[in-house]
Amino acid sequence: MPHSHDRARVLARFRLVGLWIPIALFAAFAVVQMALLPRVPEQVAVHWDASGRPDGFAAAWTYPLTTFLLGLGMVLLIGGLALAGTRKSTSVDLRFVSAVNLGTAGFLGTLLMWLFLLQVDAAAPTGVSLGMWPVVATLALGVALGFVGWTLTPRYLSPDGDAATPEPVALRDGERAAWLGTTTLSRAGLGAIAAGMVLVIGSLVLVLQTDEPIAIWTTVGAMVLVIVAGVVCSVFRVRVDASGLTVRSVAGWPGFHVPTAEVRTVEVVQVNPMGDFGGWGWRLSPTHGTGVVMRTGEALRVTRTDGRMFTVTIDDATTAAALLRGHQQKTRV
Amino acid sequence: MLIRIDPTSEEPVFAQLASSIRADVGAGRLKPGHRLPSAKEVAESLGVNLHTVLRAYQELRDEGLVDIRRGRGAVITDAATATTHLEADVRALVRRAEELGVSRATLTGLVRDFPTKGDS
Repeated sequence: MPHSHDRARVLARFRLVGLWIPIALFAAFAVVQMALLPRVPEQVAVHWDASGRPDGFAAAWTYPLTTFLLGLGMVLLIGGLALAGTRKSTSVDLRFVSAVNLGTAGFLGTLLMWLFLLQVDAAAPTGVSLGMWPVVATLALGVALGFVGWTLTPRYLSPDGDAATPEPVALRDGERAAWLGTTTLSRAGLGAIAAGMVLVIGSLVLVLQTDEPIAIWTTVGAMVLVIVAGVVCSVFRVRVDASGLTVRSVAGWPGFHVPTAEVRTVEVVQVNPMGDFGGWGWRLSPTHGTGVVMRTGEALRVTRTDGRMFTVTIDDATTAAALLRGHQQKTRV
Repeated sequence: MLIRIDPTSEEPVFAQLASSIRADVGAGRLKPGHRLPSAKEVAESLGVNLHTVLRAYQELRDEGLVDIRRGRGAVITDAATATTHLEADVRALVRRAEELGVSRATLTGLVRDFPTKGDS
């Protein structure tokens, strides 16, 4: 869809395509499942092994409950955070978020629906085997709906552009200058990560109806990994000096460095964590490159001479950017 | 926090560092509770001696502008805001001295030697 000159209309269209329609789809699936409850066994299959035989079972009502809560939870979390992140920027580009939410409804929603339908009028849940076809088909449908979501979501591009290039600091001969700052994960970011973890753990508890120790340990291990990753990516030191831009976690790792000689452009931009990077922390985006995203709002964005981009959310990004440009200019002399 | 120093200037580097931080506090760019970067980081980024930075931090501590605590580093004190209230007065005084042809060095001496309350 081309640009729209009406920012409010763009946001309203996103809410329709990226929020209400996916939620409605999940709700519809849940309603159909509830209507069909009398025709499925009381205990239904919720997990299948590698050869397609059912090995995990639960009460039938967990299907509509999971379908609705998981679907609603994911769509609201991702869509709501993306919307909240638009408050600091003029431009709006939520096409990817629409794609993710509609695609999730297309894949996860239809898959849960399909798995439930397999068991309608089944004599016993143990006999319901699962082939590859449902998973492949629903995945393809998810991708297709994701593409539809992308296409149906317009952008709003601010006429002045959202990126500002500050005047470089004029460094005198012999002068040494550095800019030092710290950027910390916001409460909203922490809340988003926690909410995401609750969703994941909640759905794992519902889905993993098994006492297999390996499954439990894998889940615990994954949780520990996520917590450790979150901790080392929650406070970063940002430094601009003659050597360039250095951003390093207080934990020592991860760290990022752009040498002055590799700096092509320096800008101050407004970042929407969920909308631009899909979340908080150390992020990789196909459109915006690498990001250290700690909060919504102003950020320093460097484009290297090889085209790679690096963005870090930081207060007073304008001064930091001006100094980086100043150092860059000195090396050009 | 932006720091600019000129190693070729006559003013010692530690004094320039202290002035830069003092100016930031005076302008409200550094608020009470703000943690200054570690002396090691400042020294590395500016390419100066670690002890130079430590000396600047100690001078600011002696003035009551920062608190130095183990593990936390140098933190701007609540008293530091008092200096921001003086900024307008300082500006007025400096301009007045310039008008009257009184040098900055003389003015600084006048302020330093002014008797504190209680002295006769």
